Amino acid sequence: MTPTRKRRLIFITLITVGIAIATAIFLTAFKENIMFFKSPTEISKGDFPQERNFRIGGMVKDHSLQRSDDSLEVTFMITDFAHDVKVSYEGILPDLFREGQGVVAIGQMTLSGIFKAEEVLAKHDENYMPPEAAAALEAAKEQKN
Amino acid sequence: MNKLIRLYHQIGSPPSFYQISGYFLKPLLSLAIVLFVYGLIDGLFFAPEDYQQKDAYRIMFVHVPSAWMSMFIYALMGLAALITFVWRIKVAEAVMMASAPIGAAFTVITLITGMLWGKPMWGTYWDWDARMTSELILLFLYIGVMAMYSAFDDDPRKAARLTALVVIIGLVNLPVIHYSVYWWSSIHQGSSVKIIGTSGIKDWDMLRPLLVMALATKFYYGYSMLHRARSYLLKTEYKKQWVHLILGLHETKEKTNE
Amino acid sequence: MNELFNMNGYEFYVWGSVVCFVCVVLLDMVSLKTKKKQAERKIKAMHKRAKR
Repeated sequence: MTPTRKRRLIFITLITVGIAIATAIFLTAFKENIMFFKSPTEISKGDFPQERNFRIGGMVKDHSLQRSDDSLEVTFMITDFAHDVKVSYEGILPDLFREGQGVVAIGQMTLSGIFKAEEVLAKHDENYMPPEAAAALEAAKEQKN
Repeated sequence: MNKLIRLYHQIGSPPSFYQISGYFLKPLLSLAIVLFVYGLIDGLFFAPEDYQQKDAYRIMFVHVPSAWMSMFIYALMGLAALITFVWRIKVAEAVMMASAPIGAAFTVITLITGMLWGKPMWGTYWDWDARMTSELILLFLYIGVMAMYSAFDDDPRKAARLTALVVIIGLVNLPVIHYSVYWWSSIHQGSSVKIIGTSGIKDWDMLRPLLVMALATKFYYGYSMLHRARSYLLKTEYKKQWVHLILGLHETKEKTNE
Repeated sequence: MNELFNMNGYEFYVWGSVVCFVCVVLLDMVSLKTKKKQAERKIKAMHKRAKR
């Protein structure tokens, strides 16, 4: 093999291996996310991994958020409108964390049935509007009820 | 019809492509700059704040157009790759290779601004979720495409053909990115602006800067891509008469003395 | 002036994103000019060599 060809072959092998490794790492990280993403209903059936971190996705139940007086600890319920899971978390909640909003909690299930979250992520939807528009929408909804 | 065929041949031939694209450079750049300035000022100072995300949502005006471009450019690159692979048109090779660095640049912007948006809103810079992972793979595809070409750059035509194959295979990633938020439970929200169906942004003052920025990035891509394609053609056609004419190399007529 | 750039606590994230966007686009503009100069220099050098 000529030196140029050899150089090329090495180069391409490196690129291919690099991309393959990168993709493999991403896909594992990503699979972890998908496999260990549970809803409150699945958890109520006992379908969740023991002694390892997993994720719960759902809504923060209205009027369920309780803050501790002397620490950063908070507890709240995550619901999928069929079942609820109680979550405790110590730390600063993201700005978009709100009752009635989507949330993802990452942590472990304790023996007492309370989910101890290490991380809490807030989800938001694809709707954007000025505060006045949101207020008008809210008012219209209330009138309907 | 005859005119169409002539246009096709003109665009397909490197010297006339070089000449015609030259007329577009300045207008495209000027349009892009004017729209960038207008869109950014409009979005950052004049658009109303969001009812939930307050001022943080303004990141959207750079994040969303860049994300659209990262995919739009790859799609165009894929089209150029297809033409390169099947018809072996040099101009298509130039367009393909000229698109890669711009696409990579917009992907980098998308990822960084996305992280800067994720931290205050979601509570994390990065999450290995479907949308982010597939966008990162897109960046690796762009880098891989450029690396693949440079491995063979002593034989540009062969390099272009092999690179085209990589680009075409990578096209699979595009639908994955787009549908990732619907196929998997993702922290990322769905698309706000839809061509079909109701958009998540109904307020015109919010939508306008977004659309202006989307236009600006398209014009900028047009400018940068044509500019790079022209350099590419000069470099690969360096033996040809038309290149020497353009660079003024024919005037040194020392050969007559020999 | 400060009021103009006020983003209610999100200054770092919003302006960071804008700066990132502008910088990357400027970088692209610089790189396309260098690419062109490189190509021209290469051709001129080859042309000179060919004539000798």
